[in-house]
Amino acid sequence: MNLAEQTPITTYEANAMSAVRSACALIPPLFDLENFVAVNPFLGWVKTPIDMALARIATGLDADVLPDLEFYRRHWQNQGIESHDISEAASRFWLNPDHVIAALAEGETDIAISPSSVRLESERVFDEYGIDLPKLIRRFVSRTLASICAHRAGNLALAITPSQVYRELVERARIDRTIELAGVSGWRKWFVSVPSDYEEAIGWVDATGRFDSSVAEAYAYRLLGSQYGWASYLRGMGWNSGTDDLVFVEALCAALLVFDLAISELMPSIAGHTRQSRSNHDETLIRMCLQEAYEDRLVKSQLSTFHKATLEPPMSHPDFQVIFCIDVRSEILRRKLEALSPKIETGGFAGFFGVAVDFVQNGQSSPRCPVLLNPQIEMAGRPSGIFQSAFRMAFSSPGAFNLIEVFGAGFLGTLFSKGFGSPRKGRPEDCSIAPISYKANRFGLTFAERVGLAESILTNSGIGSRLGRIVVLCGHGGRSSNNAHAASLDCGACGGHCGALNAQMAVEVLNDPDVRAELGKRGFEGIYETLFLAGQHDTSTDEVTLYQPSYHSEAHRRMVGELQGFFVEGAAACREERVRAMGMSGIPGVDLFDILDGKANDWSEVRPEWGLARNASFIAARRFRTREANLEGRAFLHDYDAATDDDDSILKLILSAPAIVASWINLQYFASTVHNERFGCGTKALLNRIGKVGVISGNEGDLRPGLPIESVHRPDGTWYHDPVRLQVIVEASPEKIDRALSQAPDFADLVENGWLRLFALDPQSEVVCLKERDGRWEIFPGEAGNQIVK
Amino acid sequence: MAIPVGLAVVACLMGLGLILSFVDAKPLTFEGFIFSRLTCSLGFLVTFVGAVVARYTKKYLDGDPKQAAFTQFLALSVMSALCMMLADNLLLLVGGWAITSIGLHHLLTHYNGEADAVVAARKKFLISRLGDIALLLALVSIYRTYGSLSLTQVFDQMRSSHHAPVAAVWWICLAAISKSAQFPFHTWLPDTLASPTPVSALMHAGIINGGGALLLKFSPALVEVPSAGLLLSLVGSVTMVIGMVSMWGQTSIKRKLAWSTVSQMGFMTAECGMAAFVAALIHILGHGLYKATAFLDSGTVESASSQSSRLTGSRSLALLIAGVALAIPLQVALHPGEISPTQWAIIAMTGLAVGHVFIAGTSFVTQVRSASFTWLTMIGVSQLIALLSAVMFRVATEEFQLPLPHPSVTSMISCFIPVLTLMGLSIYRLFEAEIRRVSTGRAIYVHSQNGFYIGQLADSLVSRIWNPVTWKG
Repeated sequence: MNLAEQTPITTYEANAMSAVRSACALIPPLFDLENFVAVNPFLGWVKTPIDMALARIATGLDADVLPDLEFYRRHWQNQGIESHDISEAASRFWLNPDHVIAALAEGETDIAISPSSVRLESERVFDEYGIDLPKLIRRFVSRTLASICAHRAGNLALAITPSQVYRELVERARIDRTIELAGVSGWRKWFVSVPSDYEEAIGWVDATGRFDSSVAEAYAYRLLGSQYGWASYLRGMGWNSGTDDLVFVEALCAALLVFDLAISELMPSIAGHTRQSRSNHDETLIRMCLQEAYEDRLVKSQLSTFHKATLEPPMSHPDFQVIFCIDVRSEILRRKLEALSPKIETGGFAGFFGVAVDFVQNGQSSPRCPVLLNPQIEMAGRPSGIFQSAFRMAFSSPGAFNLIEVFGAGFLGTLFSKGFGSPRKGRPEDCSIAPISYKANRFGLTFAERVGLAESILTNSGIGSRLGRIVVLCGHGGRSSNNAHAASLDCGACGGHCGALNAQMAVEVLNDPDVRAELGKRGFEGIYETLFLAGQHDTSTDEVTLYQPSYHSEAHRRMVGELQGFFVEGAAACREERVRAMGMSGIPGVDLFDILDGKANDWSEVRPEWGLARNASFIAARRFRTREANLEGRAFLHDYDAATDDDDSILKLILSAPAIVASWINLQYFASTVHNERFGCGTKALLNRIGKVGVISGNEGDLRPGLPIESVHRPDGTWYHDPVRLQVIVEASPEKIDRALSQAPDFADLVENGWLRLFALDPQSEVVCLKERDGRWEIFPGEAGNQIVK
Repeated sequence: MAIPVGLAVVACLMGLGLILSFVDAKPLTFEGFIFSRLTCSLGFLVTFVGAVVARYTKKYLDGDPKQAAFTQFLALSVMSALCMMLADNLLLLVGGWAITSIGLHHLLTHYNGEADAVVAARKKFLISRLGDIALLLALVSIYRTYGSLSLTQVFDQMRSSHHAPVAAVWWICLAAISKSAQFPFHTWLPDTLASPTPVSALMHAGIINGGGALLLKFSPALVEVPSAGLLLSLVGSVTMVIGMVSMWGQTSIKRKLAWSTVSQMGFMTAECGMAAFVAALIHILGHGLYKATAFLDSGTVESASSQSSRLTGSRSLALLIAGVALAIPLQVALHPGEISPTQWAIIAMTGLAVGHVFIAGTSFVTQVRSASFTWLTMIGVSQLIALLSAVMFRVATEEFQLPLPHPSVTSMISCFIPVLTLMGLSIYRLFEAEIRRVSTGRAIYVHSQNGFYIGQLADSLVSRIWNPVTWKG
């Protein structure tokens, strides 16, 4: 049987290819564990209205994206949602509020996901013959891809090609006997005549007529969904390669198409099993409406804590300005610091401070900037981990038997100190840039580039016109032990690493005398009196470390001492609040620092901190609006003053970069909470690492994306993260926001299709408006004339 | 929680017992238990690992509705394994042996919603029952021969008569083979990863040593039956090869560790076959501590590892030979008296290990340091390993007073097999890159990822015996 002889008709091929391509585009990227940053799991769907996307995601991935009715019912019962919230939201969906409330009152608790209308051949064989082919194929593909990817994670020298992905899969199918042993005879032989090129293979499968053009895309999406984790990883690989980011996924899809064809030919259908799928569009709509009602409550309560613009404006040159990352965890510390003294002012800015670095170490690239950007500066790190690597190699060689005899006793100490030892103060990822001399090459930046970088930091963070005496750029990083997902606790804007490196680089540039002289000329008053410092907020213990610069005056030295005192006090207050959120009470006589530090260093701790869980809103406004509001560590705070943004360029920048990153984080937590089995990686107790590539659960299986259950659920199994979409609140007039939206099409897609919600807080009229999906601005909340900001 | 503390107290007592046994060399027997240096050190390992695991579990499974039951079964498994290791009375030994398996079964099926976990646990359960039968047969045979169930008494009679019942010793060996995951009974071990990490740590570091402990306890009988040594040597060597080649094919950390345990247990069994009981004991202790640490810490992403500069096969071979040549003289020089075949085997294998250290060192260290630094370090390391190894075996041989082999042709062959196997395995490793370029080599690699399908065949056999549908976890 040589199907390759039937020359594929080109139009078929083009159709099949485009179906495959569009299915591949629905798969979000997944990055390796060292550079693990949040990704919007619905990235491929942002151009599709959310309610339509939900149905198609269910068909492809068997995934339920929204919480079930029971979730809303619980909140309805304890007044988390009230009738008027429902009626307001219902009017936006053209629903009768009574119907929605009736659905809540009905007893139906569990909405099982109905069987998908698209069925793979492997699934048919499982139904008909009882051979678990979906699992066997998944394991086969996972093994194969892991063995070609595990060594290359992030390694520049070992790039693999898409055709290698396809060829490896098909060639191994000729060798691996697991599927034949499970009862599919002739499997290995079948693959002898398979095309060796993946694009050709797609046409070849198409020519067999297997590709029903009406469901081709859905079929390809489901195929990729059966290998969701690896498909995502391959998308991430393409993403980093900088060219066409879909090619690797296409190669995988081609192989999966060939496998499914093999199954259909080797295991003919014996029974007319048909699946029935029921449409539950009405119910989805009801849940969408309840979701909005639930979110309305949250926005109302946050807005009600905002200050009116009539408050007196901030002082012109404060003593201390501390610029934090917009990460929700800084909100608590910022609030606590500002409460200590009026001399301190804090700001929010993307935590890489505009310094897009590629940190190259051991020949491996590690971009320290948001994944939406390309690194501009390359920085070489010292080779590291040489002796550990040699140790690992020796311990996996045939010499390991005797080496264990000679050195095994040494592990008594390790096991004892980790198992019983009192927690020692651990160190975060090494973020010092000391080995690299700034003076030597000034990061390879020309003078103009350095000035441009410094100017953009000062302008976009909004401090340029009122520089403080001491300005701290404060990155952040988390600490945890034995945590494969440690990078998810670090700074997402720094590519899943701690932000101190970027902060130090930014500070080196800002403190450069030549740069300052030029900035002074360009009208940045007071820059000569300003000392820039780099800092790092340790989100596990809330300690702030300052990195000392070479430049100092006696007055500055005194002020730095004072500031450090504030950091110590602020951190202590911050820990109090966080410990309460962790459901722990302090132990009398024990410093909370010790408790939290102990958690960070404990190898058995699965919840070292809550990370960005419960994130809910993104607020781009002047800080004094929120200065006295307790936002419970749930808001990304970005400084924005519409008055200084005449051409809307700053707003455009905020919407098209930090706001999108925040939405990625938000939807990652959302999906990992609501359907962890699909979009998360299950319990940590079963996680099994594949080098630095990612994790699987248990023995074998698909790579798992997203967050572990322990990062989003409480120990008792209830949800700690609150699944709400990102509520973006911008302090600007609706007209201004519309102008910025037209220049930020990616963000506009998210708004239009309902993947987040956008509110405008007009600085003049204090009126809050909600951007409706059809583009209109509606006054919010709906009850007429009800001004929410007091 | 009381259980971690309780286990820690027992571990301390075992440690104390071990220290006391060095004060007074005479073993203490008490109500069917024997407290000797051997049993106390094995007991210390299993309770120490048990205590660490119990403490670890407290936070690791925090909030799990079955956490309390989990910890109880953990304690049950550890205490019955301890009972087995300390037993002098054969009935206690069999009892402890069987109860350990039952406790472990509950731990393995902690997530009984995981189909994988259930299949592997059943496989383990059935294999353990085979081991039970073998052990019971041994018990009957010993009782009929000596009229006693006390191992001390039985071994005294064996020593004076220089004879042991062959059938009983073979049954003991078979029981040990089933218990310590030897080919062809190894397949459950790499498949039990659908259970929480601490279970793997306990199993791979503590409970799996039951087989080795059994062999060490019966060492006075084993030396009397050279054919049993040959069996252990053969089975151990085969297991060593299958385990290690499969390990090289694995991509996930826990599977690598699990297959590594298979091969390490193979090596330990082969050492028992060589009658190198001291070496086997040191191996059990070292491996247990290493493996527990490795499993419990398996979440840590390796520090930035550099890419090794791949050495060619022939260059590696030269380094291997250099390592062997540098490591052997010191070991020989430090050895008192005549060197037995068993000791030669150990010396040769340590030499191979040094050779592999050389290869690993050259692959990585030359990237950052000069060649002369690398060489000086490596020569230093080779002498250090040789010294440690020689001193350790010398001291342990004197202190533990485990039986030494009687010279015979069979026992010489038993010593040869593992050394040759290890040499073959080493050469395969050095030329792996070259081998993988030919299609047979590629095929071996793909098959090795699947553990050469032995596990899959065992699964289908088990599912025929024990139907999943009737299973009530």
